[in-house]
Amino acid sequence: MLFNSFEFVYFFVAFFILYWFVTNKDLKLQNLLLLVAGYIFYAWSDWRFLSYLIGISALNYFLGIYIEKTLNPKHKQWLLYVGLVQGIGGLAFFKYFNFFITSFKDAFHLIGINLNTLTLNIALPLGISFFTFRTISYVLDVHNEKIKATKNWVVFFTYVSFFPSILSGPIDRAKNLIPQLENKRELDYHKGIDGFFLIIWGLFKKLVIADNCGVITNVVFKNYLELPSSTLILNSFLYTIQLYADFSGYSDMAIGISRLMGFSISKNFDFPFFAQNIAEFWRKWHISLTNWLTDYVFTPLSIAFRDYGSWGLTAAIIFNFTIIGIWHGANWTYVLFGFLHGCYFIPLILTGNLNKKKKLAKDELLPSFREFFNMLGTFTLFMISLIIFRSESISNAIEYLNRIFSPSILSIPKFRGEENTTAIISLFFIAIFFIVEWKYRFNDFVFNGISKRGLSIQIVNILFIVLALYFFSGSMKSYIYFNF
Amino acid sequence: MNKFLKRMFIYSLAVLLLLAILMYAESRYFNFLPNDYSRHKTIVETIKNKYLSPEILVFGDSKAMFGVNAKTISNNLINTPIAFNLSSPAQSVSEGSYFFSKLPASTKHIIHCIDYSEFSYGILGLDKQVALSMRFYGFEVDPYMEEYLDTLNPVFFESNIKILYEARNMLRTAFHNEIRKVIDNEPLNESLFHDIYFPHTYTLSRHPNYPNYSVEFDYDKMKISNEKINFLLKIDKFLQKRGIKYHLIIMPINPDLYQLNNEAHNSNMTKIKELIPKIDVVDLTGFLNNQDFYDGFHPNKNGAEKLSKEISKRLN
Repeated sequence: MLFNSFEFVYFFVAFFILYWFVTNKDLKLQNLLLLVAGYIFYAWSDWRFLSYLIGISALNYFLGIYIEKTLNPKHKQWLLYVGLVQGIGGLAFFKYFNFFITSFKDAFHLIGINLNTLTLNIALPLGISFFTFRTISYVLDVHNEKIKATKNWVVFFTYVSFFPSILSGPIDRAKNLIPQLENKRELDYHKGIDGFFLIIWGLFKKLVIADNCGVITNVVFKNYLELPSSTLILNSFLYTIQLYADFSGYSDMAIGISRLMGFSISKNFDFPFFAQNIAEFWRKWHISLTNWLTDYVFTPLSIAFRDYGSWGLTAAIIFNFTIIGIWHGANWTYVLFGFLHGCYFIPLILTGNLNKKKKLAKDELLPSFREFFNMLGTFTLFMISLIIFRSESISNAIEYLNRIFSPSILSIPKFRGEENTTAIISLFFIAIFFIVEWKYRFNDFVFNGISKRGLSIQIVNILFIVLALYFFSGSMKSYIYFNF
Repeated sequence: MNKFLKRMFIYSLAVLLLLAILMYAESRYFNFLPNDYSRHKTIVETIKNKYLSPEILVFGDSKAMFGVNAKTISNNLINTPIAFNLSSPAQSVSEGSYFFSKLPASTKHIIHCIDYSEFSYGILGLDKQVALSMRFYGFEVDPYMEEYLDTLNPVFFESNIKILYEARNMLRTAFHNEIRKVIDNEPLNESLFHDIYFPHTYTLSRHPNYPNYSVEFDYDKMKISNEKINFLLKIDKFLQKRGIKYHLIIMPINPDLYQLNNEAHNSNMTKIKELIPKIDVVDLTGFLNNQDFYDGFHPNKNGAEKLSKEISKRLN
């Protein structure tokens, strides 16, 4: 069930009525409704793995309780390992089994040995990367005594299957979401209105920007050998925007929907294209994943490597980002994507600029030349890495990048037929999108605080978005990050 | 909560008002904004026009638009009967057949120009956007169509609101038409686009990027579709009842794009003629040489003259 579908509208309206008008006086009943809604939502998208979702919820629920109860440190450790093995093992099997087998086979082939290996036709449970990380972080936090294990199974199961964010994040932590589940919720007027605007802004990003860009990028990535360099560069730009608009659009809708239910879930993007360097970029892009890996991978590693100075820090960062790459999927392109980002940090580490923070154009309407140059540079580095990310193989990516550096770089970019119109429409709305994001760059979200503005301003904004959605929605259907 | 619900109600009213205005405006601007489907207006109006009495009507896709000059056909026939070319971009056999139950009483011949590959496809349903445009331009289905069409496109039966909502992309195609004037190697000639005799839209005899197309279909390996054969038989039976002769013209293939294997092609043509013996099948696949083509698919003016004269010979 996609957020941008009529099925979801009917589902959510029915849920909203039951949630606030029927079950609101009984927290247990309200949570049970939330749980059932989560399972309906998940099963609608992919019923085959509902039992898997319920199974790992049950396992981690009991693990949390027994980890907390057990006084023996060794037993605590073993229970933790069970949780980690189950989570990582599940991910490894569903996402990476065939990749490991094929890579293993290819490695032996390089030295002249041909292996007969078995590959399986494995379907990937939707959202597995997201809800698995939730359960792993839960057992780790209980083990490290950062949170108390919940004894309320409805609360825990709902935490795992929380439907606004189960399919594509944000990856919320138990310490943020479980207390909200255990306490009465209110629909605050301002939060509700801001949440509503987040939803329609997310819809705009997904349907008008991402889906229109996707119409072009899907064709160009299949036919890049026949196209001039300037078209390939423009296509790379459009894909970068598409990925951001698609993913952040979904996140905005997830956060907005949560607000309509009285929840505050963590934001996932903080205007990353205004970052001045790659370190700042990753503090603003897919924040929930970056924070998760920082807490559970990078920090322990950097502590372990602290005796090796800058080299140790570099190794920890490269390892961390390689994991980020691998998290996205079973292809060497993702591994290279992550590794490349790790390497991007090296100049910052060597010059001591890793943690430098400065508010962008703080009292100015426009950025300074230096700030603009830094933003452009960071954007370009990210765009290059996305060529690798999007390509079917590393050789395709290298070929694409090679073709960019050809004399046709000076030609006017051109697509086929109606794609030219789609490109112009996309660029127009991308310009509006950047202006709006720039205006709200010091806020938590676009339209943050609009509930305090006048009714006419609210209506004008809504009508503009509806107009754009009505005439210029693209024709793509699913979300890119559903594949991860 | 109450304040929130009140505000949401106001938003809903504003959005509904905007949608009502947009849908009302759509039903008006559809008729005057150029779009990819505006040729359907020409076709529908021509067929409905009681003051026109054509004897010969040509249907087909853009190959027929570029390749058949109805005036040439007419001038090469005894008594110079009135002939119109009602082909349109991407017009499938199925789409053309929608007009067959509404033909003027004066009609004596239907010249249906098809690509050779059509024999391998089943019945392709009417494209949704095409059906929407036909409906907007006043086309209505009737029970007679069910004599040869198993299913009619559901667009013709849907509510007006749904149709208006579905047709919102027309604004985009209008915008696209304007963009093409600037960026196309050879801009579309709009006045010729609506011509009912020879709607060729190019001005040069050769596309600047000739051939500008590549062929992905393997003609030599194609298999004849029984579904398509049965469909053609039904069309022929329907037209025969009305005293109309049905001619299937298999349009030329550019030899620069594909060289047909004679053995395979002859075998297919023999089979086709055996399966539809009562239909006048005119095989012109190898009739033109590469100089007679504007691009990989479409004949140029020279090719159109040759083709049209050949068609009129067959009608004589």
